[in-house]
Amino acid sequence: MNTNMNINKKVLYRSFFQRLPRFVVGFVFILAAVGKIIDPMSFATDIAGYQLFLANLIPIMAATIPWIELFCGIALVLNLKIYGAVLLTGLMLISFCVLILYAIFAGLDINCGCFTILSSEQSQNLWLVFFRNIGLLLLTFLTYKQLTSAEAEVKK
Amino acid sequence: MKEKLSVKIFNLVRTKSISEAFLILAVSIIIGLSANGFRAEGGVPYNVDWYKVIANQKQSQFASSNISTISVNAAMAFDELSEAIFLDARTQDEFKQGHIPNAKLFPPEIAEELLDALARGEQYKSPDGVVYSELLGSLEKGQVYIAYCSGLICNKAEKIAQMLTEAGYNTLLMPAGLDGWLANGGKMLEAQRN
Repeated sequence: MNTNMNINKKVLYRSFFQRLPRFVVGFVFILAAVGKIIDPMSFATDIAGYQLFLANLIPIMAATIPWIELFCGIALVLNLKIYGAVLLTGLMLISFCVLILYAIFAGLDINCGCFTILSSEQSQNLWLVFFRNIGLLLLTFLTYKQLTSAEAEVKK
Repeated sequence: MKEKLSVKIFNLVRTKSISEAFLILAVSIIIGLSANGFRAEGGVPYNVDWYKVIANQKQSQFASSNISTISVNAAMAFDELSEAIFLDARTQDEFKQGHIPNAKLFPPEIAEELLDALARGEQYKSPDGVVYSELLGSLEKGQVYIAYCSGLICNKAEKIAQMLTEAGYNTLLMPAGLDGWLANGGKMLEAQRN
């Protein structure tokens, strides 16, 4: 009886820690998205700050990117359309990393546009933002590895 | 060969990841654009020039700081009279590719060391003892300096303008930068191609 309980606890802990990476990335994406959906004007200004995108494209990006983040976040947390969500999240994080590196090396004084809801008036440390994104990217990769190994086990 | 490639692409699109990603993208884009269209207020307008918006924000920031700014046209007038030295706050590589003719390099990364050396009346030497001819060679209190970097959003020129102003040198910031200079028909000294 006692051994059974220990095994159950172990399984519970294992399944929790396996889910943790996608929960973390999912919640971060939901949090990031909500702020931008509430205040898309600030997000549009943040996108313009990179000086990389066509002016006509900026409002379309500001209107759609937060919803992509939101649905990816929800999909990761609820384990729905998880393969697509992992792919999109990974691609978004890679592009964010490239953009932030560009901003650092071009010496841009900008808000990264990551968390409009939390951003202050002061300039952000873009290296910190870059390494946070790298961390999230690693967690996304971990989720992907778990998915593929789970699929391989099912095939066996 | 062509068939094989098309089959490969078809198989790739068919994979779970990509089909699901397209579904999420499609739903997000439809909802995002609809939500923006239906918003009574606070939606992102499609007819606003966002680059002008951020340029105006930047200008108002300078207005509230102690940095004096100069327009491109006024800077050109100074240049014609040879009454100002331009300070280029970009990287050495960017400077070598092209810069305002009467400009010297003043990288913010070594600004403190450079300012210290020039204030002592010495030329700046890099840690390995090299003197770079592109760098500003001397600083004078009566001279007018105009700091610039690539454009409206870079903050490098702002940093050196702030530092030199605090050190008591007549420094003006040209917020429009090299982009603004070129847009107004300003000349640029480009790298000589061998």
